[in-house]
Amino acid sequence: MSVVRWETGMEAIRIQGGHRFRLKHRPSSECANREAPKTVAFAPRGIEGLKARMKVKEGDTVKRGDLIVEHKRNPNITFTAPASGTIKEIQYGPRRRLDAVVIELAGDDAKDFGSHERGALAGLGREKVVEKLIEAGLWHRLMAYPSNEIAPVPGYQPPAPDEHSEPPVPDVIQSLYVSACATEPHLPSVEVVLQGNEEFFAAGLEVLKQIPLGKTYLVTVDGQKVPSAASSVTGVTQKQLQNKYPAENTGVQVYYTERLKKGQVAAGLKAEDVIDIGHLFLEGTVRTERTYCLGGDGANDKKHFKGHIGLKVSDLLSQDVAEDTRLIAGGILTGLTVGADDYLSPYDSAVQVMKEDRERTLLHFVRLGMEAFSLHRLWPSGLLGGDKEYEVTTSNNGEHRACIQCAKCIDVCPTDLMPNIVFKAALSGDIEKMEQVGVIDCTDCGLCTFVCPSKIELTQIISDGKALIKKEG
Amino acid sequence: MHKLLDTLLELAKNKKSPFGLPPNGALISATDAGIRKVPEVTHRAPHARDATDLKRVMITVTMALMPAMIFGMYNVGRNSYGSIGITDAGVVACFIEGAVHVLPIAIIVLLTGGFWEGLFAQLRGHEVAEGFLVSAPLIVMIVPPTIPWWQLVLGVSFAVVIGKEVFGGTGMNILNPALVGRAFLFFAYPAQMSGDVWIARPFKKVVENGADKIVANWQTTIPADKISAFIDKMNAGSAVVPDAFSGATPLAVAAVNEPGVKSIEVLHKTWSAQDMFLGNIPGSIGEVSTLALLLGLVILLITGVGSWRTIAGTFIGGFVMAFVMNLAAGKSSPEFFSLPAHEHLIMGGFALGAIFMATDPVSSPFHKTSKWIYGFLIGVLCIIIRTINPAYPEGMMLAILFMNVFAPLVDHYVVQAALKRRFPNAE
Repeated sequence: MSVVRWETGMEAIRIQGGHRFRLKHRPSSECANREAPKTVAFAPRGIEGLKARMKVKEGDTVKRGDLIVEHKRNPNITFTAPASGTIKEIQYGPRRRLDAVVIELAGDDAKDFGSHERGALAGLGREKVVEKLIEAGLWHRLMAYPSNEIAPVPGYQPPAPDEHSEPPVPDVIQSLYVSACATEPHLPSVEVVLQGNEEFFAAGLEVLKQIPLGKTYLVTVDGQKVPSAASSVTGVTQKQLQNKYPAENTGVQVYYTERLKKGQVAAGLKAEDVIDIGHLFLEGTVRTERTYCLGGDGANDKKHFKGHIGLKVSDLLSQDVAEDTRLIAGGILTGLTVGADDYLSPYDSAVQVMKEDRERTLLHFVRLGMEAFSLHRLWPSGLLGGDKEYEVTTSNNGEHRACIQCAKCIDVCPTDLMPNIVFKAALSGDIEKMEQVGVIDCTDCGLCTFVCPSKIELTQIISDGKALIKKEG
Repeated sequence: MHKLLDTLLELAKNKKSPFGLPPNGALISATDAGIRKVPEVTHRAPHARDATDLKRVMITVTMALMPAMIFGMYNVGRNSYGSIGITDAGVVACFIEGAVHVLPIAIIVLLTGGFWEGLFAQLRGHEVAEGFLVSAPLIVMIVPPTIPWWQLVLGVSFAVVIGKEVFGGTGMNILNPALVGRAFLFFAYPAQMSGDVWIARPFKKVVENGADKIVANWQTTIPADKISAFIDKMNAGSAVVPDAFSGATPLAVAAVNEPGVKSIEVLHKTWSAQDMFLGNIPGSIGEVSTLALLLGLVILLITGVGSWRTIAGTFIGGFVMAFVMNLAAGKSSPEFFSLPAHEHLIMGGFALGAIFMATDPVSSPFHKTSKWIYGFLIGVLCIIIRTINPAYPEGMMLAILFMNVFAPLVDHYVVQAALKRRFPNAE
């Protein structure tokens, strides 16, 4: 067995566009423990097109790992209880959208899915691995690119949409990307996430590499230390990207490594998901621990926390939130606004606490603006660059205007798109045009929207366009 | 200040009139939004936004225009003094004299343009867009100092309404609004836009009792005794005005195509290349000094607002085409053909057009490659119009307007080619 060494001297792949954010109110690498909460939940936020079929009802008692929700359109995709206890409440949003299955914690009964020896993992085979992930409800951690949905289950033949048409040819997972990096402000540092979990991480890699038809990639960024445990896993290709946002984005990683053919998708996971999966195979149970971090000007403790998966936002914060403050699950650029009473989804590992900034600076546009953060050279921060940390706020920094073709969005796009023409194609709803200008490659990173001086919601408009394409087939 | 604005806003909201003025909520809130950051926050990811807004972009261009504007003001005064034979008036006196001519023009442009912008903003229920922050100084810079004020009002109205608002406002226009206004004036009132209009003389000719009489102008700060001394000399037939202040621009002098007239020699007898570079020449208010315009260029390039590709393309195109014309110059061709190529770039509106007009992002293409093509063609076209068409020695305006129209076409082909080369990530 040849040992793949971590090549620290490996040349990082240059990301064109993108930006390395150096922002204030970053969580420190210190890590504290959050005490066990009273309730946790399975909150399927951010799972596109989930039609939930409930397998439990309020008042039921569940063990950790018990099946609670099934995906209606694909019963192979399952979700299991993140903790043992009683189902306290099932929360629905508009149009019966499942928001959260809240569990009141009681005891620590865990369903046993059967453990494996570390040495036996490499020989399990794709079928067994997939079966186990589905059984334990962890398959949903594999997100497919470019569809941005849960990855297609190998061997599953989706039914025909109606009796007159042929059943669709299922997509195959060509390659698998594990992001062992976090460049978006502010996500948990991968070093902290991996601390004490190196063995699980290596085991996770060992089983995951059996899923794709092609290669499995482990992606890090320039200058990042990588655990030795990972380098013991053979058959995993290591890639190092330039340390810039959005290096952790599967779409960007694919863009700089390979070309997917029609019918092929790439599956992407984060380091935390790999640890969860490694834990499942080594210990036989669903892991409860998760590494969170808190950032933003309104957060009292800007650091990392180990806590239960599916925490309530207020349990993670454990502080009073000032009025007119925004809570964001995820990073500043892609996160979703949540309430203090909402629960974090299995994909969430960070909460930003940002005070709403409605400051009415007088003559802001002629000020020197030493503290203003901009990627344009119109401000000292954009002109000089450097290591200085800047503060960003929730201010829109201007009003919506028509596009003036400044082309800054082209400069920052990490996948070589021309967002200015993509968003115009999306606005006009012209599917052919959208596809011609490469809308599929958009990774929703939000950089074009961030830099737009006309404050156009490019990311939103383009993702609406992508939704239209999906709907029209 | 914040308190005052808040109070005014509150009054406007309650439809009360501040200071006994007629209630105009839209005007107050527009002013308020114009000088303070709006209290708007993001509604979705990305939750933070870049500090740059259009106000910052436009005000930076306006700042970059200021060196040329200030020099232009001085130059108007210098020419005014020069036209009565005084060439040692001093910088301050020249500047004050220039201000007397330029400031009313600037005020008229701002008021007229502001009126139309405000009207359209109110009709559409939009905020006032920032584009006029740049168009206004540009219009001031490309008109002669002697322009009749009523024509200026018409020109600005045409620029704002036809040049921009009918297309939907800033960002939607296909032509550079300032140039649209100038083109309108050029073709509608050629007498006031060409010929002997580039020097604001402190005296004028009036007809009194059937006879021509020269009297002092009211719009001047030059002491009356100096003017009347010159008028007396003129009436006596002994007035001497240096050639440089005769009223013709270097371009017009060089473009003279008459048998026996060595126009280039005549040009160089009056002005050296250095004069034209520094701006010691008559011309539109802000176009004269290439040096001052280059100072603005530095600001544009440092801040990245102006595309260096467009600017470089324009200068290269102009130089190449002028050089081709030099090569083509023969015995039977007009003298103008043999004007040294580098002098084309410092004469007339070439530098102003290349640096500030061609780079207008809205009316130019957005792709990097297109910008080279676009700029190059502007330079080429400008020299062709200048040299081959003697009726329009000032070709920059027409060249830019022409390429404005073709900008989307250039972009279309370049983008299609780029998309073909682009390797899609996923099929």
